[in-house]
Amino acid sequence: MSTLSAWFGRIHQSAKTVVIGMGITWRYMVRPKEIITIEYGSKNRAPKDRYIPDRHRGIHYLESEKCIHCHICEKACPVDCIVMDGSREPFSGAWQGDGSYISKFTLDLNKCIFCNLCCEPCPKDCIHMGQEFDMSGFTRSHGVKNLLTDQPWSAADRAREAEARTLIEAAEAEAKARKAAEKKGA
Amino acid sequence: MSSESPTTVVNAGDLRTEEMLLNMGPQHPATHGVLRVMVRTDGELVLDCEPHVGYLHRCFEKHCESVTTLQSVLYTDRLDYLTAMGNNWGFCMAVEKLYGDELVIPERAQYIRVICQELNRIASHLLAIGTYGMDIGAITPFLYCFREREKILTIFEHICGQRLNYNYIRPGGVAYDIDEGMLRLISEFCAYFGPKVDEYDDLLSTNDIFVQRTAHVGVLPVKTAIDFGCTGPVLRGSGVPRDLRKDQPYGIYDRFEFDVPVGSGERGTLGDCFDRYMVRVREMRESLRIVQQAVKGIPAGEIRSSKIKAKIRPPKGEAYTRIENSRGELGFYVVSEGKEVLYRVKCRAPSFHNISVLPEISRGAMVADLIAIIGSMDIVLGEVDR
Amino acid sequence: MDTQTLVQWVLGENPGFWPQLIGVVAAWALPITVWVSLVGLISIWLERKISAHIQCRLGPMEVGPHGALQTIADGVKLLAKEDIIPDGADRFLFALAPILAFAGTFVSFAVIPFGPDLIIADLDAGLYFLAAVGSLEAIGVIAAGWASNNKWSLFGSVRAATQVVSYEIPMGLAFVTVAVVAGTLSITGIVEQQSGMIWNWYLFRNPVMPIAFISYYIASLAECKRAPFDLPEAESELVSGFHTEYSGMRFAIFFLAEYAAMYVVSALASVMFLGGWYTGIAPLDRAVAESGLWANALGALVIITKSFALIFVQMWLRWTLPRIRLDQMMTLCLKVMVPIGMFTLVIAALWQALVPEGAALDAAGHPAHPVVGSVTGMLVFVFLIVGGSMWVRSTIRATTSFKTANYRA
Repeated sequence: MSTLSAWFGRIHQSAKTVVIGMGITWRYMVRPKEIITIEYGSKNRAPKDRYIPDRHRGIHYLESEKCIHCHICEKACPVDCIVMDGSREPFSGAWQGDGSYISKFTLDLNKCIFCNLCCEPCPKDCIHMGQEFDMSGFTRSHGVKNLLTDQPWSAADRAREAEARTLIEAAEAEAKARKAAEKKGA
Repeated sequence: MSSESPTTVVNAGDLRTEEMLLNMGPQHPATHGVLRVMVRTDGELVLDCEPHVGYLHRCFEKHCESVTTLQSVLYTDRLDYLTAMGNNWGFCMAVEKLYGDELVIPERAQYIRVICQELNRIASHLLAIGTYGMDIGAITPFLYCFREREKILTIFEHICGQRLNYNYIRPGGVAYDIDEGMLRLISEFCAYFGPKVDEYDDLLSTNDIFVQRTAHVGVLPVKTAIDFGCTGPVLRGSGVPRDLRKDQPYGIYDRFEFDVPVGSGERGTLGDCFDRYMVRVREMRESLRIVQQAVKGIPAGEIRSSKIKAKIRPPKGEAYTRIENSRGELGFYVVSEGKEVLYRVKCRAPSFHNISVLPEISRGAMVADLIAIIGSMDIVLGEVDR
Repeated sequence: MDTQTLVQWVLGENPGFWPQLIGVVAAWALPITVWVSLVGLISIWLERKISAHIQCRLGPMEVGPHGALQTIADGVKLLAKEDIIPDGADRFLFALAPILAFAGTFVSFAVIPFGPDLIIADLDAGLYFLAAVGSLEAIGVIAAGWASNNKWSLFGSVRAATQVVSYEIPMGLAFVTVAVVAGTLSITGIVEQQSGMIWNWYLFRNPVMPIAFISYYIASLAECKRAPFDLPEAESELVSGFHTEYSGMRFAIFFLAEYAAMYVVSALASVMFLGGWYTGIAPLDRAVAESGLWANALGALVIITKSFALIFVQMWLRWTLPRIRLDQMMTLCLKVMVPIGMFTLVIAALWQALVPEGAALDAAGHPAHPVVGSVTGMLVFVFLIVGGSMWVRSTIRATTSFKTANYRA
């Protein structure tokens, strides 16, 4: 008789747990306030107020006027995705930094692992990680960001970089010659 | 003859009916990563199985020989990517041990470390439980667990900016401070989370079908578990009350009151899949208790020790430390030659030892049970393969 | 108007054998194709929305208002996909399997009614026909797994074969129980005996009919390979079970066959147990009974609503319960459902023989008194509704999650 009552007990137990489970799912089905989807890409249902925290490690941006061209962020990067070029001497076409003249400052977002090790050691606190997270494009070169113009690295940038290199070398050679002349003169 | 398409007519003598070699390939919905299991079955009954690992090997230990100590921390994130805080902490503890007794981690940093580690443990167990339910067939608890996990990941995003690979716990303390708003978020989460665990219990743990699928399945005897070096919920599910937070307290764990859940064969045999699952559910409640105590008691103060400079150059020596991560005992062995780049780093990953016990406990189970067993081990291939 | 007159009206008086045959088949096939596509469209959208709301998310929202046209977009995408047949697969069987699986469900629609006159073939042995034709799907599933040249698909189809064939037994026992109570195998005959008030439905006819209904419902879940019996297409174990290797339109046919089968078994449940096209409100039924148009329109609305309500419960169960393992499923079938089915059959037969229902039914089998109808029906109705809801309420309120639940407003 006990096996028979165990048989009925098993059926009752299964039915009970099925009903309890269905109750939980029913209670969520009829509560539209519990929906947590954020349709961030939608045209007319995207949220208007900001939902991304302040410290979010998004795509970088540079305040180039503060940069002193010290290369600390370039060395701190574990995957070597920052490349910069510039000089202490002025040359035409340079971006003006804080006592420095920058010709190139790119960050390869295809390699970047968003670890924030570039922004922490910056002595002038000029490179930051922003709130943008969308870097989709059709080519791999779209992922290389020119932090001086906030645009992807383009062919025009590459041409300008080559030109700037010769200008920098000329300016530095001229500065070296001037300093040597001053020392000889003094 | 060779250029014709293969014929589909089979002679009766060619039909073998004893064993089938089944390849649960690296790409499979239920292997929790790129794990390959070669299974020899007799129909639905598993005769033997052989896990093949290495599909996610990314040369972590070799990387650490060429990047600086500070940069190595973010490589540890990617080992067990579901409990990145724990990996960070383990590595940082090993580096700090090289400095010896003169290095004192500030109190506030210790509390923040505990809060982050326990929140991460909850997040990791939520994922383990959710995916385990999905392996068994109940898809809804997976979504519910991820809803809670979303809140924890948002908290982490507020604290350090990232949701999965935090790079937050650094040698000497933590990277950034947490302010009142973040503490309020954490307290709100603590108030919100308790009833949700009751919901998982009613939806999954007491469900008759779930219990039938996991009780008496994949029984891990205590001796086998200890012989293979299993740790964490896998070992505790077999009845051994070993938890490094109690047995060898590191950080400030000796100040908190919490229990260590241990499997007891309540619905099946001691050491079966249900025991391991219930250990994880109960551990979530205990972690919640620890977070509540830590948030209440967190002092003001510094977040990084001033002894460790910006360029971390650990003194010469070698050190081994271990912490209780979500999956078990995570160990780091570091050798330093006094330079910025460490000489050698070795990681002892708990999932590697947990998965090596798979052939022992899955003989005689069905293929559906094999899935349940792999799910209950809760492995992360990033840590198995490093 | 039946198909003969329709065909003769289109083709003329004496069209000849072959045109008449093709005309009759087309007159059958076109409405069913349209209806099956519509059912698939609605069911897939319903499934995605129900699962989304259970899981606190939104579901498809982009294509059409609240994603109503999403299924059409998916159908177009599947049509445009490359037709891949795996290397080493049995090409003929691979191509034939989805058609076989679909054919069984498609043909069942011939005896599913939509109203008092809206049935394509009012067979005298309609129930028997359904039981026979429904098992054609099993052949399609087995062929799919074998022809894929994939061990995992083979696993899925072997499990499907075991499951579908075993659960035909409890389903057949439920059919026989209803046939014993009705005294006929004809679908329209069974429904007409449930006219009148709601307690005339076979669900309340005698105390074991609710048990037979639940047994039939569970067996139909297993026949449709829906959770908790979705082992043949276990997503997390077998990648996709027997239809792993299928892509594009072939997969779409399997998918459509599954949702059409869900409709067929739900419509059958509403015909056998839930009163078919009768609303259960006797004055309303009597008011529309005279006009053929309104009776059929109301009847169609009623039977479709009942079927979709049962489909809704099927979906609700899928997203709540885990999967049952193969041996546990066989235990459930042979040790629980077959004894219960036999028990209900014996008790129903004894009840029919011994309990004097003659006072409640007139000579034609229709309920004699328009309002009271079946007395036992009233008692079972009250007991089931009141007692059932009390049991469900107390069970749910006793759980911890109910007491500590913290929902947002």
